[in-house]
Amino acid sequence: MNKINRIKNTLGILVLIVLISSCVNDDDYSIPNPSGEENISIPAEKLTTFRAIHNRFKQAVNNGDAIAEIYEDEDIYIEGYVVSSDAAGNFFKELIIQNKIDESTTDEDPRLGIKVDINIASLSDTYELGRKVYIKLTGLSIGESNGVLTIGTGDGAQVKQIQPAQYRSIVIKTEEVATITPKVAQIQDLTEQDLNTLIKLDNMQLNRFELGATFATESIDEFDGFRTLESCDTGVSILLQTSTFSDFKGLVVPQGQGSITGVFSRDYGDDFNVLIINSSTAVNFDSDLRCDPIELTCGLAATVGTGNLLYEDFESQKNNKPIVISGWTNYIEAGTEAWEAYSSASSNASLGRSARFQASSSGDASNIGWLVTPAINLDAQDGETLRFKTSNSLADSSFMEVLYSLDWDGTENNITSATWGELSAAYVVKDSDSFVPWFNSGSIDLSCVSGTMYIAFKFTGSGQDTFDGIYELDEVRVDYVE
Amino acid sequence: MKKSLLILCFLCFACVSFAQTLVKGSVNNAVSFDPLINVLVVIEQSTLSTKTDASGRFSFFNNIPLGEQMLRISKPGFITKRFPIIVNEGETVNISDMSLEADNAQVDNLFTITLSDDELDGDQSGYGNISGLLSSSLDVFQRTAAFEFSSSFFRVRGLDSDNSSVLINGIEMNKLYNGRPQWSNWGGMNDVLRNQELTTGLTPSNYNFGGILGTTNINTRASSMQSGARITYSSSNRSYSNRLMATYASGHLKNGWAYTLSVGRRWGNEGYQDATVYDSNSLFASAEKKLNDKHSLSFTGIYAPNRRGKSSANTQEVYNLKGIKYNEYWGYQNGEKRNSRIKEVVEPIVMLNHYWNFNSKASLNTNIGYQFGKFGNSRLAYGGANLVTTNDGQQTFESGGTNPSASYYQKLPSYFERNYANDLGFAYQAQQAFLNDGQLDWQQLYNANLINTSLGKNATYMLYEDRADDKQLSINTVYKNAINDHVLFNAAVNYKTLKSENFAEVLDLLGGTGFLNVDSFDGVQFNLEAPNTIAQVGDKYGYNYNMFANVLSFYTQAQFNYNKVDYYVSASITNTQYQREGLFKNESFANNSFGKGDALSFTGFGLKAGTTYKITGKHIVGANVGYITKAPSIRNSFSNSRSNHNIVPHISEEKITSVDVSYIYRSNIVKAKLTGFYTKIEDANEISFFFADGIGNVIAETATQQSGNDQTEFIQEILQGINKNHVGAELGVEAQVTPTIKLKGAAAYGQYTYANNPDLYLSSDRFENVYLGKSYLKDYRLAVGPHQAYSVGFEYRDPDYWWFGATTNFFDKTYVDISPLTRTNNFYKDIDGFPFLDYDETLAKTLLKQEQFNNYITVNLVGGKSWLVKGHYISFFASINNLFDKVYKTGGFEQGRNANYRQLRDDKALNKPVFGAKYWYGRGATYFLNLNVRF
Repeated sequence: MNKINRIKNTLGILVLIVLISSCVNDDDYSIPNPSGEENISIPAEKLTTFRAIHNRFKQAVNNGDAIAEIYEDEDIYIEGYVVSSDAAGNFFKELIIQNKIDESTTDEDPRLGIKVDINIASLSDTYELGRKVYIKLTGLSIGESNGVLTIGTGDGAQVKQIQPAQYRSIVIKTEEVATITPKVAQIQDLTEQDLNTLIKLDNMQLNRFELGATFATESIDEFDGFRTLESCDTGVSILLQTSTFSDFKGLVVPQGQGSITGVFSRDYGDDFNVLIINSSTAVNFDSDLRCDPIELTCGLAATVGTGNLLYEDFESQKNNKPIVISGWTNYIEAGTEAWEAYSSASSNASLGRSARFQASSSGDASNIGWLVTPAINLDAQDGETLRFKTSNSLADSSFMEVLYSLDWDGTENNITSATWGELSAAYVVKDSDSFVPWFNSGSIDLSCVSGTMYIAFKFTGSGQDTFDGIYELDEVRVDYVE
Repeated sequence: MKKSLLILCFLCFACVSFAQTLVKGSVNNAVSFDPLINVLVVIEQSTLSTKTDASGRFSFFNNIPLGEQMLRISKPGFITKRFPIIVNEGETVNISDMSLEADNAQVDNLFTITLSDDELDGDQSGYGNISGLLSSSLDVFQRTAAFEFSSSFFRVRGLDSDNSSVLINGIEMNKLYNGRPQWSNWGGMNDVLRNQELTTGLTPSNYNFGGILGTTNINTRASSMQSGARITYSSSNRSYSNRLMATYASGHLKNGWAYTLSVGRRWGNEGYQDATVYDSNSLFASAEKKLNDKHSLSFTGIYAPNRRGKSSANTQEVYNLKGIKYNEYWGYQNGEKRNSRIKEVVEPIVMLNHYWNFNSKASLNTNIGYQFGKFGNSRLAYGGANLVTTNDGQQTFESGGTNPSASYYQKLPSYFERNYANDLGFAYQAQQAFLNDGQLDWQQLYNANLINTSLGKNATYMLYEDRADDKQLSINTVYKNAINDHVLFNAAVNYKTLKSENFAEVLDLLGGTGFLNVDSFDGVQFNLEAPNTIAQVGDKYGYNYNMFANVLSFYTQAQFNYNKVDYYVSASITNTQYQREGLFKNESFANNSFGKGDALSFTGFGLKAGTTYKITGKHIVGANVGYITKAPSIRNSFSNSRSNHNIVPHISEEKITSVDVSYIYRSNIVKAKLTGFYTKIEDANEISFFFADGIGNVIAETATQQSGNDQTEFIQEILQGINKNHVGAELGVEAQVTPTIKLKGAAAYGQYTYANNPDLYLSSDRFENVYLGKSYLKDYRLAVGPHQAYSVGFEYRDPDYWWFGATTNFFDKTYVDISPLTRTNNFYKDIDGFPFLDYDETLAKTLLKQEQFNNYITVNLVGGKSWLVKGHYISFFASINNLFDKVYKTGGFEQGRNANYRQLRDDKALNKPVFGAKYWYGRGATYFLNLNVRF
């Protein structure tokens, strides 16, 4: 019995020892503190400005280089705030960083932004909107990709992505997360300096012809969907660019009017300006009121008559002089430029002599010009149609409208107060169209209205780089059925 | 000592005191000198045999052959001895105090079980059907397979372990989910599991019909346990670092009770592979009350919670950089290694057994068993979503996150070499980063989630556990009747009912506030009944369903034993029913996921017969033949059980035909057995589910694809109507060349192939049972470990109670598991359905050639010694496996990623393929030390 007791005791003790002594930690972990954002501070003498970076690139371009390289012995940094987020998939493998948290700007350190190319998905896991970061520029390259200033690695010819192994030591996180207040602006006021920065546009709406479209799942959307947003204040429009890989690509673009906040950028091919949003919640079209123009609803005519009421091919005009034709009105609403005649045999050829509106190098803050036909009496015959041709030379967000009025009295003073509607059936060359060909407007049916009509070709743009396009017009004719 | 005993025995021959011819004697334990009961005593070359009584005595009275005879005494667990005697007519041969030594092989068994439960629960699920071979087998081939071949994931006859039945006290323990025994349910309690009855192959078991690999019945009756206490400590660098076990068995007590208690613990922070944590406790209790001469009641309780860190299969590129211990699943958290893939099994078993002996010939054994608990595998989720409502009320889901594994293909040098062939610096950087770290970055996951928390968003990353919580009740009754000396009749009725709750549960939000219960890929609601639920720790996520199963079976058997010939015939019938009940209403399958689905019913029957013919005592031949139809397992019946009620198209019972023929040779020195076998499996199904990383056109054609996010898709690949051939031969030879030296040899020569071209379907949450046509698998080899394995070795047993042995093993014909998807017509078709213009059939053949791994040799050593100290028996043994640290592949599988000709061709053309096959490597040199003390 004694022996059994002894055994039992021994066993009991052993069991205790086993259970106490042999801990294996595999499920009791404390939550680690956020790390990698100790209060890092880069001494002021190592900091450089965004402007210096921009200038360095410009200098390199002037020297005939494709990119500017920061040398290995240059221990310099920039500090900025993240204004892009890939959380909704609309940005991919890039960070957009700007130097200000609001629209403030100074001459020494103007408000600017840059894109940083990093070969990492899910960057918002680490760098969320508003996170202040330092970018260690040593050994990096500055260049332009997709039309915007871009930082990356590179070897002289082009900027390349920063690779996973190094990005954490290049884009250095600080503990500061700022609230970014976007710059509120009008589209036509946006300049190259606003690229890669967060912009808020007020009183915007989706163009009426695109109502019902999704952000990026229409059949024409290949890598990005482009939707035309227009300002109710000015009628100026900009394209909203949305990746077909974004989480909200299938949502319908809100149909009211309101504000939208996004990164001001250029399209992939660097052909036109775009706005890129971080999330579908960046669209805040909270008003049901839209600001669509009056439209002529006759549509396109199936046939064109043989009688002619009006034909103008501008051949009698003088190159680079404002167009002067009897009965026509050439009115400058803003700026110093007017519709003028020109001829060119280059790849961007005119049709003999043509009319054009050229805002580039006008130096004007705003250019608005009207070219209005003589009065057309729609009661004297039947089956009236309008035809014309348009082309452009890099529209750069400037735009041309084809308008009509039934109540204008023909005087320049009353031109802006008259009621102008849009001949929306007409095809007018688009910002995204090639500059080479001339586009037929189609045969716009005018026969469903009566009275006296004026037809206006209205250009809106400015002397600023992002808004300084050229539109060309020729072979305007009004025909009727005899 | 032995010699002196022998001399003593010879002297005894002179002791003649009766006129009647008589042989009598007694047997003691060589160590304790206590009498040994139930020792089998046989006069060789005769039919005479008897057993010793409680005082160790035996005697033969009748028909004793005269002259020089050989007396053989044996008892399981002891070394068999043979004594020459001379029987003279009318004289008595009295040989008292023969002694039997405990067989060190018993100690070996500890070793065997260690190996087995270790390998059986490994990450290469389905490997290791050596289960049945654990301890009781005396067959040299079976023992070699268990000892020497198991670490190479050798499978006897190339068959899955679902072909062997494991019973505890007559109750089948194979899981209904996959048909396989879950060894970790009773791991770490070797002392109390040593009473095992093993039948191999088709040979008849007294408990059930069994699978074609045989039946192991583990008897845990307290009255059968060897009384006394024992403590075992082991140290190893294989799966656990330490093992401690303590057992006490009371033996028969005077009041009719017997009880056994055992506790064990196995633990370690790291096994051979990095960060494979091991944490397992074992508790065992059994008690038996002998009610009267006819009735006995026994209770058994088994509780063996087991947690272990899993290790990954890796591509060759990863092994080349990080070695064979590399495991992608772990990373440091606050300085400690944390493994994201933990397998946790806690499935206690309680049993009540009633033993009723009608008389000395007939008995009825009735058992009730209940098993319950959890089975979980953890893993990381990424891409947690947020519900975003736009200003005009539209809802969408935004999700971020990328695969956090450091060996994700987009982070490895091969990816950079392919994508940036002109900037090899990138590949170099990736290589340096992988070499220097190459593990999960838990901190980064926390940081990302903490950012989300600060923004009021849900977690992007989350640790969850795939769970199967089973409750299974088994009731059976087993009847046995020795009708006469020659006929033994068996019959049994079994009933099992299972409720299995299957779901994923959030384990750790990693600093986040919640995880949205929505498929982040496409915004599909996992549960329409409670849309947009934000799951907290402990909440169910992703899928949630119950699986019900009922199995009713009956078997009957008759065994006939005669002098020259034995034979048996056995039959069974089984009805199996499955039914799924969805608790989540999956948005993609709103009409087909919620509530109870249709019940599935299968009827299987089995018929087998066999014979053994003793040509002489030395030459025996035997043959078995069987035909079995059986229900597919739950796993192979439902094509996407996590999401809907769908079943595998054209599902039917699996049909197995098996035949084997053996020749056995037994002489005084040499024992040998040669077996030839052929098994054909028909109409089998196999469902593999895995995260396919963009499997190409199949998804592109049937679903939306997003390349901005990871193109991961949880795919069910359904192979239906598979036929397989298993043909080969097994040989085992052992020769006791001197009393101390034994030579052993074993060989397995097999060929295991697909026998037809089965149909292939794909299912996922976006498409259901898409038929891809035939998968052209005929004549491809099955990935079932080495098809050929050979072993030669020796054992030396010194009379001074020490021993050692060494074996050399050679493995050949191990094949990679091929991807059936790339063997369909989809392989050569472009998106438009026409063959690729650049399709080159010769090249295609090369590309699809099945990889055969290099053959290899391993050397294993084992040795031990035992002492008797103050009445305590102490034994020690040590083993070293893979002495020369040979590096070898044990298995692997092709990734499903390169689904078509162009992808595969382009990937294989690379210096380092981006989507090369993933492999498992065997362990290098490992040791196992074991110290055992018996009181």
